[in-house]
Amino acid sequence: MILRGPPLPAPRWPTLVHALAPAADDPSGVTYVDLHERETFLAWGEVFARAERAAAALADLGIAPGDRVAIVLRTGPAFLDAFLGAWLAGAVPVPLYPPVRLGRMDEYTEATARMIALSGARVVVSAGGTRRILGAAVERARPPLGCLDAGRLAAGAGRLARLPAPEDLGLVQFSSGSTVDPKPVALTHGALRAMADALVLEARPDRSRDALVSWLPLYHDMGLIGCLLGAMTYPGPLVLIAPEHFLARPALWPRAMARHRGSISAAPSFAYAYVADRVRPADLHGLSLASWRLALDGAEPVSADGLRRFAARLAPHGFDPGALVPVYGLSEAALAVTFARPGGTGAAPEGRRVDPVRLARDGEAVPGSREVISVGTPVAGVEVALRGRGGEEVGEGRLGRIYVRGPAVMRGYLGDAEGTARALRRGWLDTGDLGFVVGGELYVHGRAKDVVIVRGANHAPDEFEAPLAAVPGLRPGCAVAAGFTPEAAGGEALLVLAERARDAGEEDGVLEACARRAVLEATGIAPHTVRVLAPGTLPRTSSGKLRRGEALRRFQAGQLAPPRPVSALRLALEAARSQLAYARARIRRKICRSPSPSPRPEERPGGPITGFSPRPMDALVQLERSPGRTREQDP
Amino acid sequence: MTEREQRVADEIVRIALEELRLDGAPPPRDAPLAGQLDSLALLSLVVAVEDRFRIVLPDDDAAGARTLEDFARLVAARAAPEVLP
Repeated sequence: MILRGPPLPAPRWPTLVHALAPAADDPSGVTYVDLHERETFLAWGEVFARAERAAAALADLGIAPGDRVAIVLRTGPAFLDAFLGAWLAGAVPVPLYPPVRLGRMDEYTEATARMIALSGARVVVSAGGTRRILGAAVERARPPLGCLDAGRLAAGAGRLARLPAPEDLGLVQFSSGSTVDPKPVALTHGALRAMADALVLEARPDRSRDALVSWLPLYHDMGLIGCLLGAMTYPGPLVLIAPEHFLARPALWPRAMARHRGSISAAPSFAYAYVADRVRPADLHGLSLASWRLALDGAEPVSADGLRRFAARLAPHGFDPGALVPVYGLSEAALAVTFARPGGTGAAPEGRRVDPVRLARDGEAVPGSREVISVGTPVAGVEVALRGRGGEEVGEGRLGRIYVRGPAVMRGYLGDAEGTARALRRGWLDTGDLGFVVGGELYVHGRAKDVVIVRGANHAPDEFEAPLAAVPGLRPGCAVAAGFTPEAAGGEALLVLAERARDAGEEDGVLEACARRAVLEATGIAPHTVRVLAPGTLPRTSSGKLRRGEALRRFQAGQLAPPRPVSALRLALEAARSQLAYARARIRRKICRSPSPSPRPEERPGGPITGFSPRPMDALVQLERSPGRTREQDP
Repeated sequence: MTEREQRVADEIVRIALEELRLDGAPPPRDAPLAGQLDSLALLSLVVAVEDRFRIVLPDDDAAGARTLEDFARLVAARAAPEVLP
């Protein structure tokens, strides 16, 4: 099965850097909104002039064409100075995420030092306290020109505007890496131009009435390429909110949309649910969101429920639920692969309901209970292929691995020939994602690399994680499912690690039982082990995505320690439970030898102590005692 | 902690619970905040506290504050007397 997007139109410019000077003639520009909705406006002309000064300052410092410039700055004019200044110096910007605050500094320093080194950056541009924090990372990575204060960039008197060639490296962005450590994705100027052209064709902005509003981080593709570069190359009005301000005051987003008659905005699913849950009625009073015509939802599996809640919450303010458009993409493809077609129906996207068991076992999408949202069809210039294990193309309605080809696909991972060879074969990018096509539209259903194999059938972890969102007392979206091989079991089994909600009053045992029941009801599979964790225990990527493989690894290594105080009483309790667990395990090993299907635990007198669904503590004790004997999930 | 820092700590807890709706028991004052709040909650808490006390905490100072106690001390030292609770 191959899906093809429309042909890419003739390039508007050789590269996006060539688009800067024409944009400078447009009266529109960038508006920065702060926490109190005070606004600072810089016309594209001023943005360009500052970037030219920054380019001259970088060149004076010794930055030559092709050099990498790491940028660690929060959303603000200095970020644009550094990013566009690096471009006009002929250099390659490498945006990195700014430090987390109130702790976790060691991990931050380590990750940042690693990214600076991997990108081969010659200089790091930062400012203020962030720059002082970077000291340790800079010391370890040793970029030859050190760490530069962004304030020095726009202050110089010189001007420089070098123009790159399409085949030159244009950006190194780190993939958010849900399953693997971040990798430096190398994109050429030609790839970035192709993506911006495809996005403009998709959004069809109308200069007289469109405005783009974004609170997304500028160090990731959706905020950087989709919003900043998209608006700059058009050119049109761009309204930027710092992500940390959005998190503290989510109402800033719809309010900025209303104030600026914003028409286009993008965010991951969680943000739509976050707004639905957190924005107070008073903050929306009197707002009109009727101008919002494209609300793109991507970067993580699309949650139909989250979108519907958002639509219901904002519909009274004139928001058109038909504006919600699920999209699919990844950093390695310079952002977008597919776009759902705007419905224009006035309704939030409806998913296709498929049978998860048939999909997992037979790789067939037949009608059933699980809702999967269409992410549409390829954007211009992009081809999507679905292939089976042997590399053969799969047909309509069949689950396959998603491959992408097109002019925006990365050149490779910088300095990682092996990783590049694994990801790119004959021009096709292996996304590691699974999906199927029905009616010419792509449905993404989990990741091949994270697949859970239970009783010989393949399952996407999302399938087990989704029903947990509805369990009271568990944190929505904060659970991972993975396949593991407990010692006493006859093969791979399902592990569920779920974080409890902050306000959950129930005991772990009660929550575990609820989670177990929810997964069983939704999927027909009883988790072998459910462990309820304190909020924040599960490892996440820099963009907040849960890292399933890493969570499993830590669990197996006994390192998933919840941050709770250990009291003498708790220790005594745990010891007692362990003793009990050993006794149970001995009995169970005998029962387990009979492979006949067992009835559902709750239908059985005596509770869930059976060969097919042992209590969590048992498996845990066994795992912790013999970590070397459990199979690692990730290759 | 001084009485002034104590009041700041109480106010931070109030912001977390009431304004950011980070429900649950108030965090112990001497335990690492990063072990109690995820990065999203931490980030929004810092922003809300900065806003309430009309200060801007540079990243390096904010990184040095690991516990509620540290955080309250930092805020109490930087905030103008008239905005303190």
